[in-house]
Amino acid sequence: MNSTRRDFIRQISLASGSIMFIPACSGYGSVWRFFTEAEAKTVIAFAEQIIPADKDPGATDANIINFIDKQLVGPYTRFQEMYRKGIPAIENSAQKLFQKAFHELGFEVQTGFMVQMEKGELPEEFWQETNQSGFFRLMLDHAMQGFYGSPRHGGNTNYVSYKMMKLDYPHVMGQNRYVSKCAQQPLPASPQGREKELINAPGQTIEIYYS
Amino acid sequence: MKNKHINAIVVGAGAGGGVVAKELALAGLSVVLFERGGWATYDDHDDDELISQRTTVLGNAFGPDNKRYRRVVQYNDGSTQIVLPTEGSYSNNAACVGSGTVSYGAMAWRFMEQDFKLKTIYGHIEGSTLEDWPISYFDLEPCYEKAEWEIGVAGEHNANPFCAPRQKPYPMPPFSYNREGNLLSDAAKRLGLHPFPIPMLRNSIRYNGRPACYRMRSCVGFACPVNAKCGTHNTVIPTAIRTGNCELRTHCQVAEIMLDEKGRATGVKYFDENHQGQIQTADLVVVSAAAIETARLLLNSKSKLFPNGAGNNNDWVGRNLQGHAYTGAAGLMKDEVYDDVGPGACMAVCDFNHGNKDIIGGGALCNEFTAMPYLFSKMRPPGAKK
Amino acid sequence: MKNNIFRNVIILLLILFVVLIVFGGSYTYWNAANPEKTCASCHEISPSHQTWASSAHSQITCFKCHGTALSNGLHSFSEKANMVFTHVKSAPHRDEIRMSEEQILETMQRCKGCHENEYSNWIASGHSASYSHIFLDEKHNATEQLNFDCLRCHGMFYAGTTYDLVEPISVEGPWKMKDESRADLATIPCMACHKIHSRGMPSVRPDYANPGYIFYGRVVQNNSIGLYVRNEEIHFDLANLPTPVILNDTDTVQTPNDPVYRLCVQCHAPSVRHQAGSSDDKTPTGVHEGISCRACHEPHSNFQRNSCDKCHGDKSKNCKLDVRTMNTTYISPESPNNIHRVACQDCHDDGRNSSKSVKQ
Repeated sequence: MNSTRRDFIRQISLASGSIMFIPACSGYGSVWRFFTEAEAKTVIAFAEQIIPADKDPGATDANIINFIDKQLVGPYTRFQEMYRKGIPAIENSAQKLFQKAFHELGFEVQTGFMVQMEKGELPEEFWQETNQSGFFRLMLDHAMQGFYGSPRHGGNTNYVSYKMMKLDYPHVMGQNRYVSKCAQQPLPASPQGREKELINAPGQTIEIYYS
Repeated sequence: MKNKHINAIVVGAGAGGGVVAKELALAGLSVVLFERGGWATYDDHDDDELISQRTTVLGNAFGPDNKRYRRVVQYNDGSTQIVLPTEGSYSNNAACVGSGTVSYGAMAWRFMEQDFKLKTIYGHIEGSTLEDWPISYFDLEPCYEKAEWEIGVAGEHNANPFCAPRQKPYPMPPFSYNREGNLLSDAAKRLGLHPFPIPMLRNSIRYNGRPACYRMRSCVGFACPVNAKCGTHNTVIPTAIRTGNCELRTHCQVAEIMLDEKGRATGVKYFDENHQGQIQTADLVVVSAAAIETARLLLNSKSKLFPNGAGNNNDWVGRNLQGHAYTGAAGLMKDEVYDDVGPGACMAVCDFNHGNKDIIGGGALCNEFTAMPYLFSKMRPPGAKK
Repeated sequence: MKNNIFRNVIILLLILFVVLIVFGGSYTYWNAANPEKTCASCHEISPSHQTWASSAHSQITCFKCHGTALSNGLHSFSEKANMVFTHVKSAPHRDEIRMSEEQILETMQRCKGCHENEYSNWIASGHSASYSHIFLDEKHNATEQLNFDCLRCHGMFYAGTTYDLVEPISVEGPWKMKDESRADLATIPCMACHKIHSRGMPSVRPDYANPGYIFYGRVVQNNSIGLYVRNEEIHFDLANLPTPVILNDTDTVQTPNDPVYRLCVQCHAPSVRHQAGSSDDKTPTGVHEGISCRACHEPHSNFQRNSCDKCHGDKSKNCKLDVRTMNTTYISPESPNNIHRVACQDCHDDGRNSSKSVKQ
């Protein structure tokens, strides 16, 4: 590492200062990057409705909440507002209809609730600022991305979805040089035994493989 | 620093630009090849479905980047909206060295003879601007052949009875079918159709010093991990650069073609990798930036002779854009038909390209490229429970 | 005047002294204290720390392995400072931190301290191949163009690409390492197949004297085994590695029950159609079908750990063949006695008595 003296001083000050940061670090309000603990509960229940665990893992096993949370402070920053407004609207609707938080509702009740939401039939008073079926589609899409996308984005823990589909990952894929017999033979002068064409470009001769 | 005057400028290092740059460079002309993206490699995003060319939700694996290349969409009611390259309404094409040829599925179709004279065959169609081409298939045939051999196509030259006449076979043998391809091929034969292996711009054997394809599922929409997919980025562009006559300038966006009093192109104005305005003059300017960006560049190049943009005195530039339209059908099969042999598409029939009763034109039928899981999750049988 | 300078110097020295005491003290404390109070209080590190605490290595302190990061040297200092800098600069998140290749290779030297036997097996074998060994192999490079995928099985921790390693990327050569200092580094370090932080106890050694016990149905207790997947930058536990369907023509091969097979087959893999023996696949078919790689191979060295003689010592029960003198080649797929492929019908037309010419 090439570090200048200034870098070094900066690093020293950061390192010694970091000891003082520790109490601040441990004082997080939420374990999530974007969501509050309460919001996360709603999203977890919602995602589990979209991909419920049965004999195969579901949304919670795939850690979809982690995917959405991670993307909302990354490429999906533009959707932050929608989640921030949409989640309370879900909760308010659930409170009005069932006097309970969404994640406390029974599984079947949640399903019914979401069918209504997709159709845009939840109490309109809470959905003035957010389109409920639009928000439904957004969360559906994000849940699918979290379930089927690469684990590096936060969801699909251990490639659970691939396992469900019996799709190999990592790909069991051999070295290419054994694939065809041709590839084991020494390199011919040019493909298909054709003559190498020499082209005189100004200043040099270059070889191109074509007829 | 002022740029040295050169012989030719090529705008866009994609399928067309790469070929042109190589031809000009080999002919001894000094060439500058402009590309607004950079080099895209497999290692950047490997088989990450959410950052690929087919699914760009978390980013564009092949450019352009969100920061620099936004578009303004104008709706029918006149309202406008800024869209990012990763958003659907941007209609993104790849923007990197090789562009679409880095990530494409790489089918290598030739036009059929009929495709050049659609108006003659189908007559004037009300509401359309359908015309015959001013050239015929036989004018292009030698070029097709040259491209197939230089860039590399694997196929069976006499398997498709509807194929236009050709002088030479493909340089590489065809790919074998996957399970789905075998099934469809047998079914097509039972229906009296003529199935054949799709000609593909992938190495079925070692060719041009690059290895053979090992048939991954993540092919279309992704860069190739073993460099077996043939594009301009691994064939003609490196050749052009090796001549010493061609300079590739990446992350440079050409903003305007400069035109003189007589309407001749004298060079281009462009923004370099630091987004600084620059000028490059040349004897010749080739615009090969694909349908949308080419039209945009021409429209942006106004001069005394062309007050509405270069070549646009008849208001045709940017009209009649045709997207990559194709339709598909999916069905549930009784048995497992998926065998994970990529890239999926391998079998086609051309029985319906022309001569369909009451239908103008037609098209080839192929089996589809392997849809990666997230993309596939959007497909549901009609009436399926959500 | 002179006094003033003297006083200033004294004050400066005093300040420096106090700073050094405070700083040095806290730094020494940092390195010596319980990791729960120091490193692991950072949320990036706590998952690693938790796994470590319940692992076979839980008696080995952080310091022993993460020497580069935890020594009192300048190097450690800049490493830690970088972590803090990255932490403060980017949005806080809970993702695990990754070790650089340099750290991986350095830590490997610590593994050696206790696992001497495994280390010496590994160093003597093909699995310890260096970068120059793998990437400057003329025969290979002339046969197949170097590509991105090489790093899937060799050099998986390397931060760059094959294009940053070797030039030229062509089948013509001559090839050379772009950075000569990489030439002797190991391409398949311990961490390619082992996770140091993994729940579980030290593995119980199998009864090597009893091949049957090794061949069939043995449950692996060793949770430390898993493949480092470069694309995802994580280890896949054996449980999370797929069991490929291997075909022998159209028949499905009974693959070994030993979960470690799933690890071996990742790199010693068949081509896309998963035919046994295609590409670099060594999945046994024929008479040895279902036998785990580890039955005959020592995994670190890849050398044979069992001889044919061990199972087939009794000549009378073995078609009167003396396996000790038999040509048991395994390199060539075409060999009639290829140990991975040999089947009854290679010698017998039908039934066990009508023997073809026995290939010795």
